[in-house]
Amino acid sequence: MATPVKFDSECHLHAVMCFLAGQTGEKIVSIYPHRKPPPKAPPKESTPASSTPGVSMKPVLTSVKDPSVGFGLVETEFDMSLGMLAQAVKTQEIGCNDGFDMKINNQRFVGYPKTWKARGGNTNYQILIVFALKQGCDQHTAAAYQTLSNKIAVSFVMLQNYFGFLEREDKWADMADSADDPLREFSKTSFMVQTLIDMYDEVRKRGNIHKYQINFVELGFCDEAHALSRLNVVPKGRQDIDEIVRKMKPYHGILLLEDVWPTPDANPIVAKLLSHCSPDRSILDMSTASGIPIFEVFMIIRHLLQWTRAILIYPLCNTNIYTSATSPQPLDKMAEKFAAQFGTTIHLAAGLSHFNPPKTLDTFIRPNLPLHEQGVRAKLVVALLRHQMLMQLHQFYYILKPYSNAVLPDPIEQCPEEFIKLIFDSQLPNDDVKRVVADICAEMLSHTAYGAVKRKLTLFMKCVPMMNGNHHLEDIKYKNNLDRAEIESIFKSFELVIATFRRPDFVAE
Amino acid sequence: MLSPPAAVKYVSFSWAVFYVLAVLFGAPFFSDFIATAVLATTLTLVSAAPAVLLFDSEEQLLELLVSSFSCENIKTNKESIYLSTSTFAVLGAWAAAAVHPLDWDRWWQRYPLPSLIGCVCGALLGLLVGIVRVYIGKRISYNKAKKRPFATGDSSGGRFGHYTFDDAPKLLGILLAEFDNTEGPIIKHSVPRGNINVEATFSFTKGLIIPKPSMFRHSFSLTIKSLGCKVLMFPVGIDHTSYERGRFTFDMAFIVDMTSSAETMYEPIVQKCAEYLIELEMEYNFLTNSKYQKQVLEMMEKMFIELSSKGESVIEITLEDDKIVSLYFKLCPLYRGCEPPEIDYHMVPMFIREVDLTDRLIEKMDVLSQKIIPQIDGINTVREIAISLELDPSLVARCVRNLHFYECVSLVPMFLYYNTYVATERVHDFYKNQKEINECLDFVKIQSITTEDGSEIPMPTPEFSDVFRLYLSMKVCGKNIGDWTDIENPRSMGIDEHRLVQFGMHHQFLRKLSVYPICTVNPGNNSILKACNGKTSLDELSLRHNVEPRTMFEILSETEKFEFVMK
Repeated sequence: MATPVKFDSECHLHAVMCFLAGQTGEKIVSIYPHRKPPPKAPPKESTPASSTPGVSMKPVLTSVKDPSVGFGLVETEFDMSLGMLAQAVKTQEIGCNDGFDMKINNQRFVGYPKTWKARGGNTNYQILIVFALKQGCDQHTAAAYQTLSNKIAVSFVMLQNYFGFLEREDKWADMADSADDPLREFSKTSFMVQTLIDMYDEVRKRGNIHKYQINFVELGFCDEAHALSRLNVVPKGRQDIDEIVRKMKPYHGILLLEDVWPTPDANPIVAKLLSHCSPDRSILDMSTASGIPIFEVFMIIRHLLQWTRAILIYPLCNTNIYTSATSPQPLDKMAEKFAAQFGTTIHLAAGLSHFNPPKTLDTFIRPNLPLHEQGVRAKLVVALLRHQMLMQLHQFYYILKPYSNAVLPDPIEQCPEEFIKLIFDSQLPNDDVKRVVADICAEMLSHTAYGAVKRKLTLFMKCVPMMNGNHHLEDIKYKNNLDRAEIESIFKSFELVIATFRRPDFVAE
Repeated sequence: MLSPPAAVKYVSFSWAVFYVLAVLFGAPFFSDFIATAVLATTLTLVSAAPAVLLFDSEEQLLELLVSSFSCENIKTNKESIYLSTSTFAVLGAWAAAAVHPLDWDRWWQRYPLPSLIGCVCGALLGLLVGIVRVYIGKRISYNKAKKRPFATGDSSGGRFGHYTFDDAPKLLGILLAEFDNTEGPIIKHSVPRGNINVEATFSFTKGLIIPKPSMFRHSFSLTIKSLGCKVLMFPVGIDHTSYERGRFTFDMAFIVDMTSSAETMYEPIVQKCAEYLIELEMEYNFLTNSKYQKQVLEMMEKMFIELSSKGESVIEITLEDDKIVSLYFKLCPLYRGCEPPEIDYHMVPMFIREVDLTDRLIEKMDVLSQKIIPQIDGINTVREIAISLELDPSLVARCVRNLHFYECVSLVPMFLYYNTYVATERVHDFYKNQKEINECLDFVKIQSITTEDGSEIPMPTPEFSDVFRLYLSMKVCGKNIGDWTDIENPRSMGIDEHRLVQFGMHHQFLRKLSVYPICTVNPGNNSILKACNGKTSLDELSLRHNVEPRTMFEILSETEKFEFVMK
């Protein structure tokens, strides 16, 4: 939480290449964008180099120009010709159908090599969509692009199985190989090149893809971190999102990041659910309101989270406590955005400073304000939450001995046997705490009915195993099926042995 | 060797001990005096006398005898052989005595013959066992050296400021590949020797380790998922008429564990190694001349063991006419390349690693560090250290910056009663970490109080529940630490709030809240209004304009053009 979050809206994708290997050897047949190599400094005279072995009388370093022709001659920005790159990325048979990750002179290349066979032939062909990634990209981004490479390769191989797609492309590549500008020549005839260019542009722009290859094979992909950071949300990787999905509970809610309109051919239930979706509804509420079984709601929400269409939050509620988030955000840009959305009546900073120190939501959206103003303020909070400039604090509990200088209860009568048995059989951490709890009960008995104290104690004992700092109030409430007022009154009665702590919950933040 | 008087004393003492032992185990006390004396002499000769030659002082001997009762103690090879020989000799003598009561009536059953034979046989057996154990121990310790993960931040035994990185990926192997004129690419040498994975890696990357000549002198790193490793390569070719085909191609490749993404730490080493080898090969034919082959392998082994255990390696190579060349390798994290941040005078340096500051350690440092380092206690700021030592603060700051760069100290903001601190979620980890709790209780207690007559009384350790409750009570509620102290009164529980806060800041379960003023009107060209964009804290702003933070806050809030956000 304390680490500064970079809102690097630039994509990590640097270039895309297509590698084919077949009967005529290996070659990279397309590269997009094809940037010119940077002008090289003239070679230093001090380090002599030779290109033909055996002629030099003094030992010198070997330096040979790449002898390849056609596609191989094309120079790239990576200080290598396409021919050399093709040799480098060529993978052995056993390495195929597995993630490929290589670094050449500090430039990272990822992909997913696939093998295929021409119909009726025996030669093993290889296809590899190689993505050049920018420096400093995480492991999860690299994994995401490996997945994309795999998906594209699989779809091409599938097209090959239907109508010999790759075979045809391979033939065209061989024809283009002898031309003066093989890349351009190939792009004129090939279907593959334009598909890759579109894909590259779309990933760079949106972070995700949903399209049909040659109007036929469906292909979807999401670079989660890029898609989220583009929407000014703290970027998360695939693993983090999967972790959130796993911890999702019916009391969570969702916040849609963009207007999500399902495609006409989508499941009608999705459209129905989205119409019932609002920030103050929990998953359970949404299920009840729309009449969709909760399991199905979970499935749809999982889908929305994984495609970075939504983030998980706790439903807005007047008792929620919010505070400004710790990560420094580019406020000036945001302020303009907010001014465009909410007009000049309320400034973004006013919203932020209100929750400083942390306050409950109802202090901001005061019921005595005009209804319109209330609506604007609620929307402001939603917008702040969406951009994670506000975070919700949750109450966590620890069972601890009272302060050593605390005033302990001094009951007149002993605690009844039944209670003592209950207390000493419980999971309370140590004897000191147990004794204090017994004293609290005994003192409570002097002004409360026996049955009421017993109920409180029993419920408290039920909550004790969850009071180790791992579960927040909502969770304890949900797991024990208790009412908020009741649980708060219990905790109030035993507050001497409870230490409370407010922090954000990592599932939603 | 022991000095003669000590040797005489020791030998006669052990003779007496063995005599008494023999009697206690059933030897006749008055009769057969000579027989028992012969037994005691034999035992002394076999099991006690070698120590006279082995040790230089009585203390050493005593130390070994005491340590022999605990099995963990590390002994030298000679010592462990000696111990096992003497133990087995005594045991042999005792075991052989079992034949005395038997009624076989043979001549060799006569006392003390069986015990004498048992003693000598036991000693021989012990010698054998000792040698075998030493040999096995060597093997195990070699394996351990190979498998030992990176030590985390402890400086035990290491130099001060020397640091091994816990995030460095494990080095799995090093291999030297060559282009053989008849067989093509081959492994010339590899460490660890005979490892199947190294060979598998080679056959997987053959085409890259020894690639086509056009790809020489490019660095490649390839991930091999099925073997769980990354291979870092830098192929090189050298042309000369003396080589069989006029060209010699080699590649020293490093195999690194895949799970860590910090394999980039090894990349400079791969290139540096290649450069060293190019020089050595061009001048001395170090790689091609068969007389150096043993040295090449030794160099790789040494590099492998030292890099994976210490993160650095210095290798000396003896060339023809006794010329010695040293090669230096050191793992370096990526951020080391950049300038370390400047140190503000109001920052408090705090040791990250447990360093036992012995006099010997301090003696080795430079004069400035000798003075400054003992002053670092997690409470004093850079300026305070400078004042107490009567030094220029910039000198102290430079020294601290150096220590910070080598990760010896961390810097925490100065403690002020005006500051607001909040507990972060890391406090939950603290709740579970018993070691940290003990450290904390020791650090945060009021160290000692001075009574009226000037004597210092150490204070008792506070309760964990109090400390933890105090940390939890530092909530985000806008109270500064002065008000907090008034309410909670930690001193009544024997806790020093200053130390409590510094400990929390250091272990990052406390965070200092800063106020960020945000300008709500169009800033235009005003530099102050422009600076208030939510990125500049009030402290920074007041430092820039040389105004006290409180005054700055008042000035800004009077204009009503600002909102204040804390984070």
